[in-house]
Amino acid sequence: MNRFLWPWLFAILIAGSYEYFSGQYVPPNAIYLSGILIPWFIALFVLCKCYHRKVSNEWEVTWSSAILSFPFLLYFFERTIFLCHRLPIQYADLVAIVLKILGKSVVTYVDPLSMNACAAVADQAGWKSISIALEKTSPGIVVGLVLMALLFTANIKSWERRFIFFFSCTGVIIVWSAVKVAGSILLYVGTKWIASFWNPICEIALFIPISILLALLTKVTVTGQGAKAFPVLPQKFLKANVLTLFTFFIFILLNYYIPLGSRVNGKVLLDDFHSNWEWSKVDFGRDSYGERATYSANAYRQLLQKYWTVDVNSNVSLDAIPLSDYKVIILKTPTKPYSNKEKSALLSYARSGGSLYLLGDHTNLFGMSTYLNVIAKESGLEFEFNDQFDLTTQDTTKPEYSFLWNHPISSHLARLTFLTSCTLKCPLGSDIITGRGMGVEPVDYSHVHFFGNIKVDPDENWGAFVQMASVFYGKGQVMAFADSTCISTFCIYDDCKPSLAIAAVDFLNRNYVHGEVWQWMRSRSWWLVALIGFVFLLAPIRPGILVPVSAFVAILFVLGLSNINYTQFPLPIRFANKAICFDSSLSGARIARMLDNSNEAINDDHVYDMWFLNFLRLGYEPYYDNPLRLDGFPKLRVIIHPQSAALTESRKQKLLHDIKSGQKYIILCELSSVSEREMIEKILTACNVSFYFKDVLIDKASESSWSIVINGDSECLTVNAENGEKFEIIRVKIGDGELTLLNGCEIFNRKSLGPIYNATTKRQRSLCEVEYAIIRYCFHDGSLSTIKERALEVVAD
Amino acid sequence: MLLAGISFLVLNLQIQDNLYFSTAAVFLGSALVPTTLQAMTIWVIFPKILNRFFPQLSILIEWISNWFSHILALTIGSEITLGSTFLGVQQLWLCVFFIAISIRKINYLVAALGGFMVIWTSAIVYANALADPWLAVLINAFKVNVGISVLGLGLGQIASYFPLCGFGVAAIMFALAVNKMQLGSFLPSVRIISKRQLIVSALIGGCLYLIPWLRYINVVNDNARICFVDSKWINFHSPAFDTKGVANSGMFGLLERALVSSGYSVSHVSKAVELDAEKCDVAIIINPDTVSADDQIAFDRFLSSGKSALVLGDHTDLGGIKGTLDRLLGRYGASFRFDSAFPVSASWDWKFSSLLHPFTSHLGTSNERLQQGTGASIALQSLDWLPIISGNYVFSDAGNRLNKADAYLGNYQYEPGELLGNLPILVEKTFSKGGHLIVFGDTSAFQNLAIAHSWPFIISVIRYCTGSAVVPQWVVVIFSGLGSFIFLAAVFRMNSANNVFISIGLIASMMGSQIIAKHSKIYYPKGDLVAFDLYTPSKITLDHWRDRSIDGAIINCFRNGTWPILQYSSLPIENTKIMFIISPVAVISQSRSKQILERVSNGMALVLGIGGESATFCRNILSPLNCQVKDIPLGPVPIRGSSSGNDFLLARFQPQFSKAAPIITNDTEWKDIYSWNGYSIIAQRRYGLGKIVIIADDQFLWDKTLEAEKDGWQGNINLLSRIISGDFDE
Repeated sequence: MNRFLWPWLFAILIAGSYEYFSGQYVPPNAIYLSGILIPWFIALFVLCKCYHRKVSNEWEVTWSSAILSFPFLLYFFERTIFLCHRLPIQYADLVAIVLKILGKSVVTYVDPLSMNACAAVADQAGWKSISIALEKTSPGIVVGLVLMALLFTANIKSWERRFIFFFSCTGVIIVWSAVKVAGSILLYVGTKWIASFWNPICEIALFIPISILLALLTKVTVTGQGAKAFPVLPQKFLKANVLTLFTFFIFILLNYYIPLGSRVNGKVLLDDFHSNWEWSKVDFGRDSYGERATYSANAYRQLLQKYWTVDVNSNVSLDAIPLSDYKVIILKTPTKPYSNKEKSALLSYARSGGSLYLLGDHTNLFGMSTYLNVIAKESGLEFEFNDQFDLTTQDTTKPEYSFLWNHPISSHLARLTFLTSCTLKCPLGSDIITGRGMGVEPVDYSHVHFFGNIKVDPDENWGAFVQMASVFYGKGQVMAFADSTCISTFCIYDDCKPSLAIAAVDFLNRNYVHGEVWQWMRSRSWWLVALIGFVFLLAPIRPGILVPVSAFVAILFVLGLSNINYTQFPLPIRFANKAICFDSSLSGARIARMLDNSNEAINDDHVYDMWFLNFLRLGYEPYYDNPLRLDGFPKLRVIIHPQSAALTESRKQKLLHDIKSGQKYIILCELSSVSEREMIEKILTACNVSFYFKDVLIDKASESSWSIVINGDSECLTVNAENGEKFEIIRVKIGDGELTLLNGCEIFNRKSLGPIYNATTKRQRSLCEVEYAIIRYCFHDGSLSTIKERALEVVAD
Repeated sequence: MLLAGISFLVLNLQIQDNLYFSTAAVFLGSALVPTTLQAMTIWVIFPKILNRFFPQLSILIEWISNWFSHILALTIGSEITLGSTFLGVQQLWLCVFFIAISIRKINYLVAALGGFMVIWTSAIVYANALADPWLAVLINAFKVNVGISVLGLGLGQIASYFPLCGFGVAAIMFALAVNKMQLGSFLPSVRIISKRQLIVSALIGGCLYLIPWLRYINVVNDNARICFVDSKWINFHSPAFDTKGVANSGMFGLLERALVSSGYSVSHVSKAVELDAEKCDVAIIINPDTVSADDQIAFDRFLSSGKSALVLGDHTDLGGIKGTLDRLLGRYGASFRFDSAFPVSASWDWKFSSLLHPFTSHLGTSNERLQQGTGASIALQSLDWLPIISGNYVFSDAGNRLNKADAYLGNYQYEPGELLGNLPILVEKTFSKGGHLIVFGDTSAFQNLAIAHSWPFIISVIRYCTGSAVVPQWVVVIFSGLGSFIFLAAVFRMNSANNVFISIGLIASMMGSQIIAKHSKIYYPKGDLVAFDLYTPSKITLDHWRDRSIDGAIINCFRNGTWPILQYSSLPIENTKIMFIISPVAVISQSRSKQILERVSNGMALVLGIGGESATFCRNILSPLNCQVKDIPLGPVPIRGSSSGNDFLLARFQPQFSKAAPIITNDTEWKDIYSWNGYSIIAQRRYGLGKIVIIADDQFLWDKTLEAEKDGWQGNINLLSRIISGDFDE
């Protein structure tokens, strides 16, 4: 019995650990990796022992080779099974039967909003609605066990018994998964501990009993089959094995290779006619504040214009303009519906080779998901009426990319923070960005902006969801992105959002020859999986080292395709002549979570988003690092709250080389911080600048103010205005470049300048004027005296 | 063996009814094949059975635990207070003892007791001194918050459950050791029992197991005179129109109102000394502000004369009540702790166990009927008391004298040194002339906010108090002793017949308690009742302070002079004037819809709080009435946009919806009560002698829209009041 039990226990442990290691629900950590590696190494040991002695039992070879290949095969769940959430109502009925046996009153129904099958479970505090969704069954373990059953059939010679074994195992697994869901529900109803639904220890523990049942089934089926060491299979079986492998590789090719057509650099049309939100033609200058200016798509349009010709349609129905003049049409945040004629025109345009880029947002805001779905659904995409957040922290989310494969677009998005998106439904293999560890709640029209409570409830969904997807439609493409706030002026230059904006349009701005055929085959590649399973059952893969090796090669194949995706899709080349690059690796300042309205976030003195955005108000392009990989030196590099520990020797040499070659730097610092003084000391010493720090007591108090004195050629301004503004600016010329120090920079942080989309107080505006003067001074377009004048003009609120 | 260990763990989870059911099933299933496993399982469950005959056993074991903890504290030189009760120790204590005794070998007994003491000592020291540092070590080792993130457990839970697992593992190991000793040789051989034996053992088992009920045979008095002893810490206000917010709805006014309308005569005295046994049958003393020596004497005289008293206290010496209550109860061997009893997990659901008792039959396992909030635990110094309801896995959160602003409450978190385990929260003492003294460490269940939820429990307590015990206590003790002896004899003469006997006993007990619970009538106050339908699955919750709570709607029913009830069954309740169905999530069947409409045609009013989505589930009611609620989200109607402060204040007197949807009717019978921009949002029609009102917003009656903890929307309160009082009928 034990020899049949262990493999199933290993399978549960590996599949459960993988589900969590891949971050489907909670952030991955090393404990989950050990849950995969320990059984894997035991299996490796067993298989090596079998091969070494050459007289081993066939079962040991089968299970150890299956376990060895198991983690590799689980990888293919990430873009398939883990993205599925809904289950048929019949499954909910099955769970209800289990709950009824356990003495609970339960009623099943389909929730009209989320379309989830749900069970309402009665306790004395009322009814608890609980969605019976795939994530509650531990899909990794359930489908993983089915996969193991399939792999174990390699040990059974008669095909009839293989079928019986496989389908009886599958039946047991499905029924047990219903028992498991019922168990989780009881645990939740009893304890109100919602994490019990995804807690890995609960999940794995609830599946352990099934290993006994499966081991019994295995024992009954496998015993009596005759044990032979490494059986030589008939020739026809070997052919079948080759066919299975070939089919598997076709499946991978269809879903993991992204064909890129030829770049055409056609014109882009931004549609404002249907959108009374994210306006494309709202000026964003030095006096542009407030919601309309910061929430506009003006900066987005201007960024696109640096690459392509961009027209804005503000007042004409889309069926009245020659759409074929454009290669990409961006339908963003519609707040009124498209007419039937417009819909026909747009779909006909896409079928004949044009690209549609649909930008929606959370919770059917202003009805935009409803309006976009009229077009999106025709191509198989759909904006769902929901919003999303981090499952464990209720914060905004960052997509966790796969460690093996990336879409050409997502390969350029190493760091991307969503604000709040909805989720997308899309055909198999068409996902571009997938978020994991997300909680998703349906629209609530009673709340502001239709958000729910931004907290996961048991009748909602969680796990992995698609946030950006693209499908071929006719000769053209339709792409959908679920968070239009990412193109807003106030955050378009945040983290990797500029890359997202450019990569998406560049991906669409191409001609595809066989896109439609590819799409047809890709969306039907599920059948290939069924075929593989069928062939497996008819003619088993030979047990042994071949299985894990094939799985490993398949993973290498995926990795290779990912690399091809990346290398064949470089971002368009452009020079960094107006770019301002914020050097995040040397800075202690944080990238802001720009829509966080909590007191903690608003008073965060290490956030400089308004300082950053003010460069845009003056017509520059402020980037965090260099997401667009622009060529040449940026116009200015910015370091805020420099971190001494981050300045390695190689980094120091690079910085020195850049400055001497003509790069301008500005460092915003607080010299009262030891770490920042150390950093400045390191840089100036490396540049051979003579200097010393000065500690000045303020107003007899114990508080002291640090400043720096440069011996030699430099310009210096100390502002100690009566209105309380104190800062110091020193500019030193080093080689062909310049280094400007701004000591006392905290008057420019978020706490002082206010939220990025709402700078309306007089003091905040006058502080922005000081910043403008400093920026102009850095570019030799202003003087220290102007800065002082502006500083003296700062008024208190 | 594994099952024996699991049984032990399950036992300690205290899932009473299911436990008896499942254990009985195990016994019956294995009745024909007696094995060591059976024997082990019986031994494990035996303490539970014994506890049933002698509920005071838990008090005794608490004393032993307390004494042992004290000795341990002196031995290790720790200044901390060690837990006095601990996690089902009583079960294991007896379990080990009886296993060892039944093996009949003194060396095994010594070894078993020694092993038990080691585990017990380790567990107490662990819970009080080591759980916290170990948790810190784990967190540091794995760089993750093991307690919260991975296991989802807090310190209190870790301190409870980890030692429990230790006991479980030890029980399994012990079972394995016993098995190795070939225990089978001590057991009789297998034999199949005859039908006659089966019937006889069933009858004897069932009868024996009902012995504990002798204690509770009581003659109630439906016209009893109830007397409240007033205190400056309490008031008898009822929800009124001039106050808003569920939390501001007064304290005990509804209790008084309900007692009067239930037929009792209610009076007030200012002090306990004024209690007169000639004029009063039941005294209710809540948070007394003073208790003098005269009060003590008068109270004692009152109880000795065969009358009953219900004493309600509160947490952490609130207003100095601990002193007054202790003076009142001290002579009987009970006192309030300076603490608040909290479960180690967030909720009281499943975290209390109750003895079989006339007033616990409606309690269930969730906190819905008990409505336990923040209350004190009760320390018992006499075996005369019965711990009717005890918290399981609760800790005694020590009060903080410095926290004056917040009623001396502690930090709401278990800290090593605090009592952790089974703490009595409701206790009873029966006096020689049949009077009862019932002491409850919390007043929440009796307050206005909770009374609609807890009424079935409260009226049972009151009715029990109005009567006096019929069977003398000495008779109960004799019968219980006899029952215990028979049970012991059955256990020691282990064979199939005895297994069946025990099984049948268990089943009889369980079924008896179920039957009593299901068929004991719930008495509602006389007058108009408003039923909130909970038979239909819906989005509302009965928890307090949630967006989806219906406390606001309940309080508004009280305000309008009706009595709200929570209706769990489809059976009609007499005197129901109005029935609310709010945001259903499952289809109301045709037969039930027909039944509801029939009741409406006989004069009941039906109020449907349904939105666009939930209306589909009411189609069987709406279709015959030619009415639909369209799934068009109108949102928070009337949509006002931003407005000035004055406009907002004025708007508060107008109705405000959350998630409205339009009502479409094809029948002139329907009359619009509220419409916005041409969309009908509330409509009403007559149906037979009754009426139907549709509020096309499934969130209108939720607390978030109507009335929440501290405030309410006046316009909605007024509108609901007019609907309840029938203002729109003509």
